[in-house]
Amino acid sequence: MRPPLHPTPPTPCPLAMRALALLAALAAGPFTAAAQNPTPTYTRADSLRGSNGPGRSWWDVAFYDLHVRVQPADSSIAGYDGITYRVLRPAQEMQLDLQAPLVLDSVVQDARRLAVRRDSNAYFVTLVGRQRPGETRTVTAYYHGQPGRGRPAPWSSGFVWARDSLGAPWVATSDEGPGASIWWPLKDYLGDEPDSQRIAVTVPDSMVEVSNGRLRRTTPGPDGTTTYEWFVADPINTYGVAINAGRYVHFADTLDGEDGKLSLDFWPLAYHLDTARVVWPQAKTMLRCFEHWFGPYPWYADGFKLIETPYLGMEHQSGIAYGNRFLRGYLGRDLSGTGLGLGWDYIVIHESAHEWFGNNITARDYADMWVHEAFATYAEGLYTECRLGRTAGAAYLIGLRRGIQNARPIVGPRGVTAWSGNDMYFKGASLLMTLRQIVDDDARWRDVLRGLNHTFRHQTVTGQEVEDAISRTAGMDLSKVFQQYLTTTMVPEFDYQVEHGVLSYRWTNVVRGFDMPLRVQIPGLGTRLLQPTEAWQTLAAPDPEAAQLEVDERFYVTARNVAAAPDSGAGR
Amino acid sequence: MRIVALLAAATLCPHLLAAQARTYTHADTLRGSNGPDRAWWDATFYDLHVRVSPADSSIRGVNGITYRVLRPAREMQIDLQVPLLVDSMVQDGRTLAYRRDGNAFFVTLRAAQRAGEVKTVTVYYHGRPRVAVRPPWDGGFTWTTDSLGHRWVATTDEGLGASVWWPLKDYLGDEPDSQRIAITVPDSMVDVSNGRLRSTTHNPDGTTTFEWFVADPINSYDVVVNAGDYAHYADTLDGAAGKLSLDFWPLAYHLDAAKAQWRQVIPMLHCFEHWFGPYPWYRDGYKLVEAPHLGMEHQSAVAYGNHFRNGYLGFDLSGTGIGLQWDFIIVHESAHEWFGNNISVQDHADMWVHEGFANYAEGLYTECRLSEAAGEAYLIGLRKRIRNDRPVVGPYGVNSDGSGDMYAKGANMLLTIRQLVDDDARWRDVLRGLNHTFWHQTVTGRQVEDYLSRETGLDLSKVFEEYLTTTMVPEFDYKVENGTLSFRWADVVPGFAMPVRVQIPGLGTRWLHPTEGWQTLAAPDPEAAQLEVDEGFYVRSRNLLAPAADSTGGR
Repeated sequence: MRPPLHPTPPTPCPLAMRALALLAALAAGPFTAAAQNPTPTYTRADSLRGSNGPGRSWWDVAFYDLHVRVQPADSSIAGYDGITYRVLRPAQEMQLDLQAPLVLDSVVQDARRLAVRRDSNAYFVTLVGRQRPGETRTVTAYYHGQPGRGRPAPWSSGFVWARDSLGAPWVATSDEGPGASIWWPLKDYLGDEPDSQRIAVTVPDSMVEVSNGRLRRTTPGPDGTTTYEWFVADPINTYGVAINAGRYVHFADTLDGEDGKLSLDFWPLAYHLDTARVVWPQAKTMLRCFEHWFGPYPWYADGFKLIETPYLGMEHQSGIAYGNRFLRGYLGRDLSGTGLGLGWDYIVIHESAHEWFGNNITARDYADMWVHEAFATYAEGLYTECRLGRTAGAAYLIGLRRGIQNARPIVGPRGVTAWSGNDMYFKGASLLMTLRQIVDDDARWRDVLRGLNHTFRHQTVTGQEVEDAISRTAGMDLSKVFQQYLTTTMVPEFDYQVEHGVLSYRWTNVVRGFDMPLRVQIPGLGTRLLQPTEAWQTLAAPDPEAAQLEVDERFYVTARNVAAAPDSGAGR
Repeated sequence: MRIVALLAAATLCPHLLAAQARTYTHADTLRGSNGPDRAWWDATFYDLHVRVSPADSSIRGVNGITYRVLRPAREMQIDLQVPLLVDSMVQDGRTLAYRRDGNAFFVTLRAAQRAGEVKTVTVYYHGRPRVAVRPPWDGGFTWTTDSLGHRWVATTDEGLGASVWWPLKDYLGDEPDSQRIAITVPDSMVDVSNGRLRSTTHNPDGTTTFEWFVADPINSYDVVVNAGDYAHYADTLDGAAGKLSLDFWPLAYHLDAAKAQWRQVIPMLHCFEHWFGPYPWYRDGYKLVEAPHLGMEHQSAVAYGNHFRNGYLGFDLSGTGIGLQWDFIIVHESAHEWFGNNISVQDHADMWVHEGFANYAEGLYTECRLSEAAGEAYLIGLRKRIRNDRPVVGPYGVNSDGSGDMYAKGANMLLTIRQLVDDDARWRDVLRGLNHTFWHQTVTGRQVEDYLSRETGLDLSKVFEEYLTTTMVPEFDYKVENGTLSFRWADVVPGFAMPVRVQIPGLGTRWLHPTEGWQTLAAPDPEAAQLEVDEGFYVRSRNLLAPAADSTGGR
């Protein structure tokens, strides 16, 4: 998904204050009001939007044929979407989503206008023709209006009507949180992606429009407009569909990738061409690194693209939105506080990682959004590793822990499009680093990561499916580890004491049955893997300094010498 | 020593370069050896008085050299480099005869020198001392002005030697027990030297004398003049050995910048006291003094010229970005208070004891601030600076350094040894023990090596031999055939048997004990050849069955 919210301005100030500012910013949470409220109440509208309800589950989207005319002059749009679907079960009522203040003009099937009943942002369409299982049918939804404006992109919003620094109109969409229905009509449910999609966008002649997939044709219109017809050949997340229109220029490159030649297309604003040519080639290093760890880039048919946008960034599939101002780090800052994050462009790395975790493997429910964000953040560590070594990668991820809040579990409530907070990024990444320590076999760990992308290629998944696949490939039952880190706010605490040459240790602050192994360096015994449980266990440790043991910091746990004064060593 | 010169600058370092293909002269031996006219007496006190005249770049002074007679002798070697001139030498109120041999003076003493006696020779001298061309990498006086045009004078002389500006026994192995440094400068200037300021005396001729006193043994190359338009502020550290005074001397117009940037001193001192033991100079205090050169570890008066920026003049020597999290000069030069000033080598050949540990200390400071992994990543990043051009240990007795690899390779050897110890509590004991055992002493590299072997309980002699006396990097050769892993060391000194931690698919992370001969281990996992050697070890690894280009080189 979008990068974590980090809106504090990059003003120079003492390190400690900057860390506090970061934490305060993160505490604010990224976007939904519901997510900020510790005890949110979800409405019927939330359920309609977030669940696979009766008006949705009987039909499977095969193709969206989206045509939109964009008018920067009055910030309005008008268009239609031809929705082709397969009938799974007979039904006559279909739910389509389109958010106010946009107006649904009409819905048509077989050249007949259909009756529509509105329920907040959902429209229930009564189909006239019989819907027989196995049939493929199309409804076409016509709409227009001035799309809503939310909080600043990319954390909310829909359309961004901006101007570049030379005053030319610059338009871009971003809608992961509110949903694609903030600007086009569809089944706005993560669990159903079309097999392919056309995106034909008409803009004033002065603009160039860049969407997802490949440009099929450019058609000048008689009224001073041009239509850019893009085609996405593979399943696409609805929130990945994007419009970017402005004074773009283009340059191209090719990568000799794992699946052959991969086209790379770069679309900066015209006046940023030289800068982009310097900064964006790191996309090649990134792609090689991620193909090594995650397997082939998932969209060879659609290619890889970077598109400059008037907001920070977003993982729009095969058309990554880039607004990091060509700075290193996250708008010039390093979220890890180590300096390692300034070795690369955060948006190029993080958003591109989503092509594997987020776009290739897509969570069906926002509750499992850690599948996108934990892996994309972990990927930042892997990219650091590709460039500087394993230790540097670990140091980066350890540094990110300062952003962990443990205020709410990473996995949020299901079926209501709820965003559970930023721990899915930093804590999620530390969970994955911890798993790698448990596996203790980098070749196998790489097999796990590649296997996920192979097994769930171009699919939507539940978090549970991902958890099970990791346990299976790793050859160990990790269910308690996932339960601990994803469904609670507890950090496992390794309690220990040394008395009379005997080390006693156990887990506390854990879910029942938690039995994660832990690597500990014990004076006199060297580094060894312990198998703590909730019950005390003992080990002969005669070295007088045995109590100065150190837990391998790559495990995201805390350690406490229960025999020591309150000044016990806490995990970072 | 002074900081490592960045990039190509290292190749410009004259005395390092000189050591490469040079034949050593009689003068080098006089300067670098504990010769017959040095060995019989032990310097106990230098009473140095120098008048500094920026107007004509000249100095004039006197050094009262108090010494203990170890063995009866009549001829004494005193060092003072050309073009400075000795005016006279006096003992017991009588001038002494001497002959000059280049930069060495041989003084014929009149009175009998009886073993155990304490006597004094006073040397009067003057002249225009050598002007430093590229301080701190060469020695002499820097006569400059600050950016407001005020006069600014500083000395640097490591390597070249303190005798470039004052007369002494210019031999690393003999430090005085204490020293007075009384510097007279024009009234408009403030002089900051080592130790504590005892008195300030305004003279009738428009000059002021700043009398500094160093209460503990001091390296001769640490004795310093810093004179300029300085401001002062102070702080106190609750340290491991009590209250430690911190005195800061930036140029007046840098007071605000210094107050912000130099705050790093406090976490640095806490970190190094944790790892190395108490700061060695509580009596003399800790000082940072702004200097017109990059920096130098002048004892209890660290010279600072890093422009109040993090990193090394804004660069990160490790290439990781981690080095921009702190001020290189504050961290590196201060680390020398333990390794370099507290523990000082007797011969430049062993300078890795100063630089290897100070470079390693940068990793420890990173560890204190960020994490153990970050500290290690920083040190690993430094490996790209290792050239393996010459051995780290240089030729003995001729005042010559070994390779510039004494920094990054020395640090990575220490990182490797920490892996071998595999016990951070003990490793810390070792580092603290070094500073305790060799407290205020001069040592040989061999003493340090033996101490490390003894206290770690590991025979590290082959490890030191490999990393310090050769340019080879140990190569872990391996191959997997029919479910069997074979492995050995190549590129090593005979008998090299360093254990190494390897993560082997199917077998997890484990210790191997390679030798020069092939050993085998059952490794049935089909991916076993994708084993990975722990990066904490500065070694290379090579899969002999992999295509040649695909072998992993050491970082």
